[in-house]
Amino acid sequence: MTSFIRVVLTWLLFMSATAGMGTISVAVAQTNDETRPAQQDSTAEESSAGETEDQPPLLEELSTPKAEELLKVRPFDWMVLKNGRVIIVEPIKPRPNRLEWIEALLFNHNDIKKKGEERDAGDDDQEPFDLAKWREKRLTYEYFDIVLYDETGEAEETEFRIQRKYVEKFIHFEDHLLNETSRLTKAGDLRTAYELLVFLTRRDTQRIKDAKKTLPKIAVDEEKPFPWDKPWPGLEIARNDLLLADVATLRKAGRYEEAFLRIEDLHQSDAVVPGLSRLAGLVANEFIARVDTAGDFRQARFFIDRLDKLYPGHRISEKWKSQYRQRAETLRTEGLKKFSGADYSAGATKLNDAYRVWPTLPGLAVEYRRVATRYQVLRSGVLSLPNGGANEPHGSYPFEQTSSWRRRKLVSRPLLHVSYYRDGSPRYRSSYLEDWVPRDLGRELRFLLRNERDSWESRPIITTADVLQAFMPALKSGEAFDERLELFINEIRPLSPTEFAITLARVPARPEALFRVDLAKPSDPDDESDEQHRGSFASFRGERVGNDHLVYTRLFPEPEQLLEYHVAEIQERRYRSYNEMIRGFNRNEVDYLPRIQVPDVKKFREDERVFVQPYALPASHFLQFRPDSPYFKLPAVRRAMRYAMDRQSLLEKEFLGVDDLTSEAERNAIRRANLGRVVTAPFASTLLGYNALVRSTRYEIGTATALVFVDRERIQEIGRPLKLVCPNDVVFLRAAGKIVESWQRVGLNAELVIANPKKAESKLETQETVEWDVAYRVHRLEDPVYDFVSLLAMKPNPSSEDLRYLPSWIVRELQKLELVSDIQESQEQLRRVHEIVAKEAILISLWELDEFAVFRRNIRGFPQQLVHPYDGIDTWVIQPNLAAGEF
Amino acid sequence: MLQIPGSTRCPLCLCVFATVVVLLGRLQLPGVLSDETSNIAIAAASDGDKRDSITEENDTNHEDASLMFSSEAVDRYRFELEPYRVLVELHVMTPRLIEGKDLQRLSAKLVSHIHRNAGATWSTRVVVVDADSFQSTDGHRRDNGSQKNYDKVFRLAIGRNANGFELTGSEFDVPTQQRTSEVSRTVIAPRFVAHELARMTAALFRPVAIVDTANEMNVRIRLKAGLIACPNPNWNAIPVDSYLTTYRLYFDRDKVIRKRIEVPWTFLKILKTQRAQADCKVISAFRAPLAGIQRRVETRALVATPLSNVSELRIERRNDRRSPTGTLRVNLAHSFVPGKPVDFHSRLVTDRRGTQRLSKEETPIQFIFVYSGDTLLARVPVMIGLEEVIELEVPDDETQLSVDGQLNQIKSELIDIVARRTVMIARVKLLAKQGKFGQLAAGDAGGQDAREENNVSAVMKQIELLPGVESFRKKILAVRVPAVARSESAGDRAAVNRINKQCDEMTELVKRYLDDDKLKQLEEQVDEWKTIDRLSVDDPPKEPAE
Repeated sequence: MTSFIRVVLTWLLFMSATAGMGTISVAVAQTNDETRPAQQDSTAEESSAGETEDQPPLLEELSTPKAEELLKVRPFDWMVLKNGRVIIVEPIKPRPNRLEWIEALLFNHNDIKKKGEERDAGDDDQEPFDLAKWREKRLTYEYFDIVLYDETGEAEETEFRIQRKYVEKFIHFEDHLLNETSRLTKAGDLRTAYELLVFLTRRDTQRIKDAKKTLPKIAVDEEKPFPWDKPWPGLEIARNDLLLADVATLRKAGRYEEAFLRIEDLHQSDAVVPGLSRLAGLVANEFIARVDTAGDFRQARFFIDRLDKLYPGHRISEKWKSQYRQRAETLRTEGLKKFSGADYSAGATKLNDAYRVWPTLPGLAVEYRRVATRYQVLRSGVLSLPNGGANEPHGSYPFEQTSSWRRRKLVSRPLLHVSYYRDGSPRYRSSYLEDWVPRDLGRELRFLLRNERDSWESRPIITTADVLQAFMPALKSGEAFDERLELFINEIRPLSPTEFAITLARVPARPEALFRVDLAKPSDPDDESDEQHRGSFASFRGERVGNDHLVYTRLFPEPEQLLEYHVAEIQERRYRSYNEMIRGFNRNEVDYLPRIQVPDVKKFREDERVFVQPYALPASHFLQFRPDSPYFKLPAVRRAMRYAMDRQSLLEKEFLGVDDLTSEAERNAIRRANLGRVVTAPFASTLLGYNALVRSTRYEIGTATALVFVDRERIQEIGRPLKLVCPNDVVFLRAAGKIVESWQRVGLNAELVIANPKKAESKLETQETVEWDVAYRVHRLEDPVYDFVSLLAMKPNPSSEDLRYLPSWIVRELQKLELVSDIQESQEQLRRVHEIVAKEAILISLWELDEFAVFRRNIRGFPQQLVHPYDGIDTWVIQPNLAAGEF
Repeated sequence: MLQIPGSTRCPLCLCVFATVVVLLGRLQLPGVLSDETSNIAIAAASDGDKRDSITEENDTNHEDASLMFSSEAVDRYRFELEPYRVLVELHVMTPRLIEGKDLQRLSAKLVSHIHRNAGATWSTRVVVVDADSFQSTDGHRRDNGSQKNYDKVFRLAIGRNANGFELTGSEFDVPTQQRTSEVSRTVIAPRFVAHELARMTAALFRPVAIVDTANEMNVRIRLKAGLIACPNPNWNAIPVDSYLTTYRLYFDRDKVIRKRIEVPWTFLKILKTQRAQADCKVISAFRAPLAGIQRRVETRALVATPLSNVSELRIERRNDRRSPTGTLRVNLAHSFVPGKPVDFHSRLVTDRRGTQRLSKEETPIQFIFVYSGDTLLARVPVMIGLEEVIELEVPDDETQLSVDGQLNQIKSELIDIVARRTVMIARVKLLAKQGKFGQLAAGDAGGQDAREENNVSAVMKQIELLPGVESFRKKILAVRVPAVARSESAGDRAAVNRINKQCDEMTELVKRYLDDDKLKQLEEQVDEWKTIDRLSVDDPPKEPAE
């Protein structure tokens, strides 16, 4: 092949020489099956010059290059000669329409000669017309400079020229791309078509940029430049065709949002696309109908607006607007009717629905504000919901999860509860008691019940009989038997309907901690009447509404004619991910986030629309062993597990988000903020009983490996990996995964077990739990002096039997902690227990994280430090958030 | 003179009495005594004035028996020949449930039932008592004055419940002052009341024996009224494999009981019976609880019949009964043979008060092992269901537990140090192999800076800084001295020995694992490698020997 080209070039050179126009060059032609010059068969070089098979191929013989080839090969142009043969050359510049441009230039040039000759004839004073110069310049218009590809596919260094008269036309690389795009669009291969179109667009943009650089030069020289800074001819049409085809496909697939995005793109293009308005209406209509069925009016309104922006007064948008206005009007009428009938809940729901459907309905905002003030609804964004029911299972995770803890705190009504912390000690209060007075050196306590209730309180007025009934299950044998309470209480004596006395067998350090008896807890879960009776002592009652909503309603509504009302209903909305929850908060879907992640605290604190309130206690993260796990019986392995973890690094990476920060200053700032700390106890380091002298175990991978080696034989005897169970929370799971990896690094065969709540939900009856050895726990011990034993026993009312897995000397220390009667001594003993538990690795404490809740500024009345997410919920006030799109 | 039981005016009773007399005439004393008793003329002790009739009106009807023993034999076998003097106190709990003649008829029927079974072995008197005596469960002891003439007092009560007549009763053994727990039954019709009361009496009745001869493991006992024939052979019999509890009775010169002591944690198991005698095996927490003869001291045994299926074990501290013992491990075994491993069938834990509910097992006697940590505090046999509450005193284990805890912590620390030292030694060898000997900067105490230095000298310095044998020895001493002093002052020699042994073992452990010689060896090796490294600068350092 190459030899033939050289023959052609020689011939052309001869012709040029005879014409006195210097040397010329000719490009290499390619056949259909030899797209790339590099792939030319070397044997072709040896063929003789006169052989027909070595001639450039005819245009008819070539087939259009396919997308795959076009995207792979170096760009090329087809130069079609007058004889119908095609030579493949490096893309010529400038382009497109090179031939047409030269024609135009020549026309101008001829005109210059004519004008010059006329001028020479008429005026002698002027400089004579330089015909030689004119001819020289004209000669440049007669040739194309071309570059051929060599056998390797690279451009040859020698540049050739070919006389214009031999060239019939150019088929550019861009033309090939466009043709292929159109073909693929018709064939329905939109993905590849998009790929080609993007490639072409990028290439064309570069071409225009290059043309703009060279254009001024050409313009000066030639006086009449060709418009190369315009998009490639046919590009926009191809694009529009492709978008239309894509719209049809997406619509068919029900992906209306994407389809509408394409329509908006089409609408923005300069070209007129016939039927686009109708298509936009169809897509919008179908989408709105769908979201309307799902009750997502926010999306529907958004689409109506989008359609209106494209085509103001579109028939479809007008249809839906009218429909929504009508629906909102109906709901408003019904809501106001209910509201005037003192059915506030239903009234507020209707008004809220109306506001969700069409918030701009005239007068609706005012009525919505009035109703929302009377019946206040707290909308709370959460990541998980409890499974429901008084005896709810906690998924396959063996411990109470955050969602259940939230629910328990909201629903339960203890006689005494922790209200706040001062000087590192818990302080108790009761909403039922007027007073409680110690007598006989603390051996007797007299309790005086409150016989009235504040208007805002959601609680019943109870009598001595109710209290005694609540105490009884704890004091008699049965499931609710409380061995510790039985040890302390000698006698409960009713003195009057509102007064009773408790004689203590021994005086505890803080008697209030003993009397956190839940009045709302049924003594017998199977006894429905008892459950109903006890349920009436709760402040809120929970009811599941769909998969992602849980509604708690105030059991004791506030009376009429009050100046101010408080929260009447709590709506918990579950989000699938933390980021989605934050987006929901930003979209006004919820007003309250009970827990945010530490890296977001700074951002929310800077946000003037919200309050960021800290919790009174940080959440302690620790690992707890299953008592009957064979791994627990290996103390060296327990300590090895502790040595193997780089807790500081894990804390910073997984919880404080230090790795996500780019600057060292930001990292240092978040470290200085001290929102998370490595600790040695499973309770808050801010409490008095925390022993600061207990040193945190260093990260010593070598020691850990050696300790695992000590018990290697017994580990082999166990014959199964150590299983770490973790709550189904993304962040916790990530941290737990890292912990397992660190254990594996020291030679401990460990695996992560994910507690799947969905599995548990489907098996409510069986409550199947996963097999585990160690549990990743997140807990907040309110009063560690009394709760530490419960934590170790994994039961709220631990018996001695529950502690038998511990060595006797540790059990004795725990008993001393319970029995000590002086507060200072109790703190001392707690510090001692803390030291023992840490040294013996009974629990492996990881870190503690300060927790924060975020309130929108329309909420007030919450405490300065939250003990739990709904602390003092009776007193919270929610002002209507008119910016709220919907719930 | 033998008392004529029953009403002598009643022809039926006379017939019964005649039968008894005939049987007594045919009675043969146990084999060992047969020769001595062959010539005995039956002459019952003439204490008829002390006997009571079965009813108030029959008190005066006493008659002498026609069969007579010699006075010597009578003295010797007085215990076996004396019938039980039994007082049955009957009380109607529900007012106007049974009154007047009905009550008298009921009493008579009860006597008749008892007499039909017990025959001459019981001299029974039935009295109807008022409510006051029944108010307290300790009523038996309060009435001691009026009960001193009886061997057994039965307190039977008749009440009414939803299902019919509720009968409750208990037995009180007057000489030992031991009372059974209360049992109750229900009968539907009034006509069954007397019969059921008699059955209840039989169930409550605990035959009495006297310990005759005793050595460490075996004793021989004689059964009260065992030589008197009984119409119902099971009435006064003690079958083989049954158990008895033992009591010491201390008499004064006038043969009046001055003191009674229960022999604790001791049971007799009947191995063989022959007439009024039985051979028993001693099951006790003590080595020879019944051995030794004392003047005016008599060892009595009562048949132990558990009337309940459960007992509460209450463990208390010997010197401080008020403070709770806390959680102790209680293991139960069916049997215990010293020197052989024990097979525990139950492993329990006492609650915070130191109590634990025990349930009846297949074998009546259970061995209870009480542990505090690994220390055995008590090992006693008990019969579950015999008493409502079994009280067990144990020595104070506070010091022992404290030692356990402290030594355990020292052990944990030792394991950590050994692991860390092993890693560091391996590191030294690795660094030496790489020729990184380095030099520690002057004044560097091997703290953080030394730790960060990646050379042999720095790591060696770290190893030296780890706690050594001397450090651990001091710690162990700090545990041993106060603990031993406390135990000695408490007079607990066993605890002293135990603590010393534990501390010695721990010291040995420290010596074994933190041997300083190994460290010296390593230092020498390092010096050697260093020298080699210095001499052959161009050559790679010699690979350290493992």
